Amino acid sequence: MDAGLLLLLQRIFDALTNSAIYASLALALVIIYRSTGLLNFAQGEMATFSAYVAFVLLAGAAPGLTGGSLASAVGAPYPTVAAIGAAVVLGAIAGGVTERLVFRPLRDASELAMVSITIGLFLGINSLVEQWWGTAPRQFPSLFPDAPSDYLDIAGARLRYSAIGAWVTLLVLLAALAWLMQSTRGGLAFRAVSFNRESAELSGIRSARTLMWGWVLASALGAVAAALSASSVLLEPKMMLRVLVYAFAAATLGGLDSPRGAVLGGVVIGLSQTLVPAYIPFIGFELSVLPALVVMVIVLVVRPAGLFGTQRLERV
Amino acid sequence: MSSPLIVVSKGDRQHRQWNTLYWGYAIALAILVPLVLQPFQIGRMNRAIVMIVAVLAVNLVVGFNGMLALGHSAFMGIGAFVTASMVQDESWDYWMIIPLVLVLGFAVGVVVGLPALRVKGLYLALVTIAQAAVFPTLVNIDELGIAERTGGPNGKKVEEEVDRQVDSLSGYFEFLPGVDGARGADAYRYWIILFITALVVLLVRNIMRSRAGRAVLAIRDNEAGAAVYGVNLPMYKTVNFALSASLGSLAGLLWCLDKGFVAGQDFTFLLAIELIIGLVIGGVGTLQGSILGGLFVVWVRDLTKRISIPMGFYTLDGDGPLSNAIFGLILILFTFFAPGGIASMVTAVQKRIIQVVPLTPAGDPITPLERLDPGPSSTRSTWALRLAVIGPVLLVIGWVLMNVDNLIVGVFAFLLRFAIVVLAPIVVFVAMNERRAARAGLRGENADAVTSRATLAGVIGVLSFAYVKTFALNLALRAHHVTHLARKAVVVDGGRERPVVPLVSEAAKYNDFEGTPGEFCSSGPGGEFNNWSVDEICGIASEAIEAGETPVGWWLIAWPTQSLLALVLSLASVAVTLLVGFRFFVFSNSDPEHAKAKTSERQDATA
Repeated sequence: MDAGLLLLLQRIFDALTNSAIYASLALALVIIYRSTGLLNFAQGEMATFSAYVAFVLLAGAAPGLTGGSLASAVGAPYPTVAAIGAAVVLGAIAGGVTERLVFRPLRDASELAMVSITIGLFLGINSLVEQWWGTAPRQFPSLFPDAPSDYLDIAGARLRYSAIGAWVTLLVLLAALAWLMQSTRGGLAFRAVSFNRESAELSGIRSARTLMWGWVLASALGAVAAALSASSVLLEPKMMLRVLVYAFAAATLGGLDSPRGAVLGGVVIGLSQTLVPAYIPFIGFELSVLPALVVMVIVLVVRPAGLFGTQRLERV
Repeated sequence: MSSPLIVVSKGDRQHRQWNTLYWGYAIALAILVPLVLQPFQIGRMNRAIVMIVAVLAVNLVVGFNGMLALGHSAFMGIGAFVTASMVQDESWDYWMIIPLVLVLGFAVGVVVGLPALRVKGLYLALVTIAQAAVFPTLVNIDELGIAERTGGPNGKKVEEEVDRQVDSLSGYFEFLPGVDGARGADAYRYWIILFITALVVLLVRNIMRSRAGRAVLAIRDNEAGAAVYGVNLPMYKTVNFALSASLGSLAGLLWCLDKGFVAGQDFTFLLAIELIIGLVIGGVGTLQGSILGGLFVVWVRDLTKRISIPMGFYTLDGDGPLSNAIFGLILILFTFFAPGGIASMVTAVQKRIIQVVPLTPAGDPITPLERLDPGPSSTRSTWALRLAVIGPVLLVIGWVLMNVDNLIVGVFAFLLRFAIVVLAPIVVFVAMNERRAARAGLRGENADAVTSRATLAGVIGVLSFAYVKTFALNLALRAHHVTHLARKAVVVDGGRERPVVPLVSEAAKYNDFEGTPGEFCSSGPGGEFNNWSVDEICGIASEAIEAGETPVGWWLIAWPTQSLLALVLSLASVAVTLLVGFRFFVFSNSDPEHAKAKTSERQDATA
């Protein structure tokens, strides 16, 4: 295989982990947007919080680690997968509680009111995380084998196990989500509520409870995204802000109400972030955000509802 | 207090008097505020006014047009960097850059807004988030000489150049005593920024009252309906967004003017979020809301940073990550309990005090004023009496609280003491009206009780107002006297006498002391200056002051001429009070027929 092609393949492989992270957070955003028409700015911070919980459960009673003694009281340190699983569950519960306490009372409020609530949560959670765990980056153990030799050789390019692991995780989650949505009563109820809340309520669906489950799902997905992100770079309070912006771009690209679109958008954003700076010298790594966002704007001009989104019609 | 205390028809005499009072206070406060603030506080005020312009820009899109835009930090950044580059690299004057920045902001706004505004929904929010996220990295591009002009990651410092330009104004302000040195540099900036901001606020107000503004509001209220009535949706949305972008850039220019330093990391997504916070807390869709919101984000952040509450083993410290948590909490609480922001609270209070009845095209009030009169069972005189008593009570409480050594309590105490200046004129207003109503027989058999209550309230109101004014005047006189003494104090240097006051100022400056020279003497680092012991100079000055036997604050020495200014201002305010009062008492017209004639006369004149 010629060297240029090999390099391209290698770069695509390198972009895979990030793509999976963006895709899973975008998926979380899409679930909430679909059901409540809300852009959740706090999604990333809620996820960061879960990642820190996982970190505490992994570390146990380390000196100077907030919550460490609490964690060791419930049996920490846990093994990696168990700790992340527990954090995902806790994050999901926290998401449900947030919906119940903050968003349900405001279900008929304006778009701006909803957005400002999520901004308030964003600020609040972010600063609590900083207050409790400090701004210093922390080493988060990798979820998958990550030694220098842990890779699969495909035509000379190295596909790392961690990238495979991230995608397997994402695909499993997707499959589970598809099954939940398509083959269970709850999923049917969720789709009905997102499609038309009033009609769904008239046919006996408890919409508030269904929406709460939507938040639970989204928070769980976000927590997984944060765990992936923390293990691929470092764990720090601001780590998800950047990811959140990419995830928004991914979700817009694919269509804000389409889970398929979110995953595809995540891949496109992840790839363009790695490939464009590599092949267009004008754009340094500093500007790796730019191409993705330009692509997003172009898509908006050509197909306003995104690649897979549904066009909205309005009756007067 | 079911019905408002004062009912006026739009544009009649009392309404105009009320407006004069209201705007007189507001404008005088805005213009004179640098004279009483410390230099660093003036700096904070400048920042707040810059935020007012920025929040207003966001309000144009979010509040008036109902579209969510979250990226105005980028527009501010564009304005700030263009200004920095033009001032520093091309040696333009800042006022020459204003049109450039406006046009540039408009153009960028069109480019960003056009794709996003074609579709309904949250797409503008998403595009603008992207724009806010990408901007801080854009300024670091090496290509096209961008990094060279913006200063790249290090930012660009333009302080000296801006200082030079601003100081060239000092010639025009020379007649104003008390603004020179550190305070002068900040105060000149303050007035420049205030002037531009006032123009912007006026501009937005007028646009919103114009045909175009109504179209923008119609789009917000019912998009499909507006389209049916022939409003060109994409055109109006885009132009409105671009206008907002150009005002955002103007805010960036003011930012640069104020701070003298621009860097990419100042204009991140977090700044955009701060603007949204200001908008929501101030009040969405109102002009006052933007003004209050801009002040809020700067001053309340400043306050929360100083919070330090010991809670047993743990100290709740506002100057850390938690200041954001406090902000987030305030934002959420506002959204829940006061969705209209501070502006709606102000309006609610105002509605209880005054009701303005609009006019029919013929010039009569839509509802005759007599019909809005509560009749014999009116409680207005009782309320006037209550308010008349509340004012002095608040004053006393404020005075007591002044002694608590806590910043937030101090601010609260100041507001309490200030309340009487606002309450007293209202009391006099209501009392006059009630006396008149009783005379006209509208209070029935309660007339006597109403008259006596109203008279008592009016007298208390006038007296308390006069007392506060006299107190201020007295303070100003004494300050003038003391300053006079302090200015005469000299140190003898090798047989040559040198005045103490400039020495203290210079010593403070020499020691890089951030406070006033007064504070410098009382708590400053001491040491030597020009071979004199600082303690010695301060001692001589304080002896001179004690000779006057007046315990007036040391700060008055800092800017000697300021006491003269205080004197002039006090005299002026007493004169204005007397004049307005005189007009109230002597020329106040109680005859509705007369007011009606006047109104139609005016309308004839305009027609």
